[in-house]
Amino acid sequence: MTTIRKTNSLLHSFEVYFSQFERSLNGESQTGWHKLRKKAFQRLVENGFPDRKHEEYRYTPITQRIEKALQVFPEFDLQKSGDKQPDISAYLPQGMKANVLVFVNGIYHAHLSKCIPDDKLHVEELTDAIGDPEVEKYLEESVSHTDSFALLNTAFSTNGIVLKVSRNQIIQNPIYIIHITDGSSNNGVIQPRILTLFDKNSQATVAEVFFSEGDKTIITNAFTEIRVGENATVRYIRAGLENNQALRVSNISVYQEESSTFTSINVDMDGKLIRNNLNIIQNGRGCETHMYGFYLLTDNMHIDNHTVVDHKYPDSQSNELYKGIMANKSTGVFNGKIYVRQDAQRTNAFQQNSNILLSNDATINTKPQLEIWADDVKCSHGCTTGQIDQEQIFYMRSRGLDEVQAKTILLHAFALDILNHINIEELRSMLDLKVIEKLNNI
Amino acid sequence: MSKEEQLLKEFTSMEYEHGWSVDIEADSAPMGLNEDIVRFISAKKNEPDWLLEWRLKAYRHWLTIEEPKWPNVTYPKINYQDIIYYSAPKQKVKPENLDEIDPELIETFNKLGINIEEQKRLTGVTSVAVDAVIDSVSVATTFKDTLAELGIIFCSFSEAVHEHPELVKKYLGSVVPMTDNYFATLNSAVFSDGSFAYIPKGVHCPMELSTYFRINAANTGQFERTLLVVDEGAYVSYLEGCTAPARDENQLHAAVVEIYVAKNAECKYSTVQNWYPGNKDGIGGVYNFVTKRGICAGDNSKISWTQVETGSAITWKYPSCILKGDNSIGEFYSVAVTNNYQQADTGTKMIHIGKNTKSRIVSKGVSAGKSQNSYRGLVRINKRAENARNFSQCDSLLMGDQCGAHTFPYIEVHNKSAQVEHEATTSKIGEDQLFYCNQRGISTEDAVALIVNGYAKEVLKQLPMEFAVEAQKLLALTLEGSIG
Amino acid sequence: MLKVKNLRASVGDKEILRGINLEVNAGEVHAIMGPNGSGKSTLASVLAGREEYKVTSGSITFLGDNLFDLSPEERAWKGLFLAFQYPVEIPGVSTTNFLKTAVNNVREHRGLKKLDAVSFLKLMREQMKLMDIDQSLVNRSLNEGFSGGEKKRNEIFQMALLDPKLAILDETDSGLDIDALKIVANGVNHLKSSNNAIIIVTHYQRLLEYIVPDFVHVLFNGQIVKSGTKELAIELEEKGYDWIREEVEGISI
Repeated sequence: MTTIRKTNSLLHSFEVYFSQFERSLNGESQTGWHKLRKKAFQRLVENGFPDRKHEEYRYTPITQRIEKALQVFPEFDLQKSGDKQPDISAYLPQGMKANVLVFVNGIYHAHLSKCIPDDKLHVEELTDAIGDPEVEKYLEESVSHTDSFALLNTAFSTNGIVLKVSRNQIIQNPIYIIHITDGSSNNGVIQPRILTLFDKNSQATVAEVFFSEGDKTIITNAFTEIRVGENATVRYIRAGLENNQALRVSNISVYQEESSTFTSINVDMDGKLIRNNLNIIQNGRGCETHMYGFYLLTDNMHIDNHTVVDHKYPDSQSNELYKGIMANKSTGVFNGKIYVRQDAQRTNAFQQNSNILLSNDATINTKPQLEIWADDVKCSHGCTTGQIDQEQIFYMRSRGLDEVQAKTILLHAFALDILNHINIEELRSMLDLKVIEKLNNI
Repeated sequence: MSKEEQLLKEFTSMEYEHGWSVDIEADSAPMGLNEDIVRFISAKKNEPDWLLEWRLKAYRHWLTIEEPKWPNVTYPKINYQDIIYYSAPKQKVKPENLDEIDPELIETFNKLGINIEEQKRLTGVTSVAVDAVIDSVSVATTFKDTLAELGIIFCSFSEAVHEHPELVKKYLGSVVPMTDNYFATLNSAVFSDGSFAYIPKGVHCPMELSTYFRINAANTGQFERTLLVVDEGAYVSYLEGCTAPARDENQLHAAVVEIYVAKNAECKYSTVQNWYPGNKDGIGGVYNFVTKRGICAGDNSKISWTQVETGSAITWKYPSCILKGDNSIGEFYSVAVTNNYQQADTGTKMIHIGKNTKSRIVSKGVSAGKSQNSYRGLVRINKRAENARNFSQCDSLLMGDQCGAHTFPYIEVHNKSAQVEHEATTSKIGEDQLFYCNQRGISTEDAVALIVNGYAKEVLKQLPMEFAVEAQKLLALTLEGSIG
Repeated sequence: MLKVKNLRASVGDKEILRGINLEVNAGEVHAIMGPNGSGKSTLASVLAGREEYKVTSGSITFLGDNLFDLSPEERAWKGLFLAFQYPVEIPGVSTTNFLKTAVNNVREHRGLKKLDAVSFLKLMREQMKLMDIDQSLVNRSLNEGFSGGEKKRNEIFQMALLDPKLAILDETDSGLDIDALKIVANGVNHLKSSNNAIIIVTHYQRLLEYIVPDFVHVLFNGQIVKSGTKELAIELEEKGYDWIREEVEGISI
């Protein structure tokens, strides 16, 4: 197959890397967990890394970019660089009360993390959670993931966490997960892994926020799995605030049970190349899903959002709104898939993608996609690409605003449509300030 | 029941009407494909060397490429050695007049609703000039003389090769390059015949030009090639109709249509594709893998595609517009109806290159039975295409819960002044709508036809009034909306 | 013309009609009144043949035929017309085209010649005047984006074109202002003759001031509990339905 042939060199690097990894495991290499890792790696070898002919990656040359970035393949022990003790408060929004969990270079740091006792949040490191049949079951399921990067994460999974919210439990304060990528000493690949389990009737807000330091190339290959139990309500916020070196692929896999509600808000404003795969499967009747996204691209940034919502059972709904602004020489990509399976009668699904291009060197590639096998459904999608409404600009100018002000106000309003869905006030203000700062510099 | 309802009923529920085959003696190439077959075809047509070389080049390239896998269709692997690449009804060289045409052939066209003799008598009235292509060759072209007076060339492709080699040489492969895609490359190697039209500068073609395609012989692939050149300030409306006999094995149809439109010129291309779709259980039917593309080469030019797709087991077809000239306009109107086990993956590509270019896409899919109906379209705004506009509307109507409707719009924008809008909806025919119709004395079947008709109206309206013969029934549809 | 005997019908598991008896003859106007949920619209739907409503017992004959043997369109061909409480929107189908199809289907089954486009348009224009229907309305998709009043007028306009033997007006007066109500009433009165009959389903007496009923029936809890003349309607308007409830419940104790 062409895919394998072309991505051979990267695969080969990872093969070497994998055997180093296996050696480092010593006696652990015969455990059930490691058998799963091997299986995942084998599947990765079969699939190869996606090249540009791969439909899911046609607009995002991620494999080539990683290959280029890793010309000198990193030492295996890059994880050592995480020994530094960062000042966590620098990464927290002012005045926020939250359960804070900290990852440095993909490794969970319990001693840096701090939970609010009243919330009784259950956090366990993956190595300790192995043996829990539920955790093992989900780990095994992840071996059949179709995305090569998700498989890569599973193949190298070591230091993730399992987050559990038990039945009827309501977590009052947000769960705030900070990822700090430290590229001050080494190049490397890091693979944070998070499994979150929300039991029946539980309720919580989770945020994952990515930061980076240093100018070495660190490739983040994140995998987050969210299991939303029956009638549970989960809000999930993901924000990227890395520097312009960041290369990040994220797989967020969500499974919703009957009558559950899941809301996702994804904001990306930084990084060199970001790819988000948000896959949501509705595993029961009466599920409700909301997906919001905002991307603001400057310079040579490349941000790609792929979302899937799979309606498998009747009486469910989904609602998606992704908005983006592309400036300078940046490239935005959006692909939203809505599947409505044969049994998913009376599904309502709406999808909208709106884009503004601010430069002729900027590009947006968008593919809103509907696939429907049920007849009693209401589905629609829309997609617009344009520039700022000149009439509105004119109106504001005639009221005394200058053109830059007018533009900034309009673009800011465009962003607020999404940011307003973030229910952690402090995080929202932080992101909002960042939007304003970026808009002022365009 | 009124005409339009009858028609729509045919769309959705009818068994294939053109499923008969006629026993016409045919002159065929041996089964299979190799360089000798390519030479055989070229020799049969007495072609000049440059064309043979062109074909061979295409064939050699074809050997190095793979069949596309991305369409949302599934079918067993095609064995390209099991196909006859050339079949011609056996008859005298080229008929001088209609009396010399094989009566079986005339009968064939009468059955299709194309009365070639009638055509002859109609001269003078606004009518339709027909080029009839059976299996691989063009058998009759009507109205040639009338058209010639205006300097319009309308003839079979082989004839054009001999009589207008300079035009063919200049434009052949200029819009769809020989290496464009798997099926277009195959066509370039083995194409047998097709239609050629040239509308000279400033001439408004007074009648519809039309080609009827018919696959008759068994195991035969049809690889026709159509080339239309519309010179500066000229206008033409072109119609294409297709049918094939009902056969248990699948037949391959891999045609290429190229349209070149110069400055201030316009071409309207309408298709009623009614190839055999296979039977109720999905046995047989035509694989319709067609490449159609037009270029708005000059400023202020326009290409408009209208298609009504009801046939074929599998349709793979994306009539496209390259909007190169400034202010040029591309349009695509499509109704694709699939039933039983039919699969359609169809849509368009609008490539905006020139300034102030506009495109409009209206796609209406109707899926019934166990069929799968996909819209796949690309809108690309290139970097220098200032002020480009596109509007796309892709709707799906589902009838029953065994079928599927899929929408794959690709939108690529590289210029900030572009305005691109895409909208899609999915609906079904509601029980309450049917009951309302029933209560007013309209049976469920008629009500379905009425609703489908209303749903597809925007596209059907685009079909030219002169769509004669086979499409005559469709006139009732286009009249809808003009009453009252 | 219409004979309903001991009709019982239910939706899902819920019995809504519990033994209706009603006889309607040519030339008569019947009003069926009753509070919300009494089964008025169910009765109208059962007469028109809506499938969700299951008839569990009883019989209906219409012009000598067993109504249950007829499909909804066969009932329409025979001359049964239901003016819907909530007329359905059908996008893409122009009102004109829809009506032409309906009229010609009905004519065909009544042994009349189908109308060509010209004579149909002529007929349509005449009736449009009667119902004060604007040309732009019939050019639009059926009921799509029509105001409530336009929808109701469109129903009576269709009644005029289809010339039914028995017309059932289901809450045709609800949502109408007084001017629209007068137009509708005038239209209905104009269509009334000794050959046809009309059943008006309503819970206001208002419409009955303009279309005077020969009989008024009160439907309560799925049964006709009281019948009378137009004075009964006036009484209901003045006293409301509570006294009926008391009377009925008094009887049942």
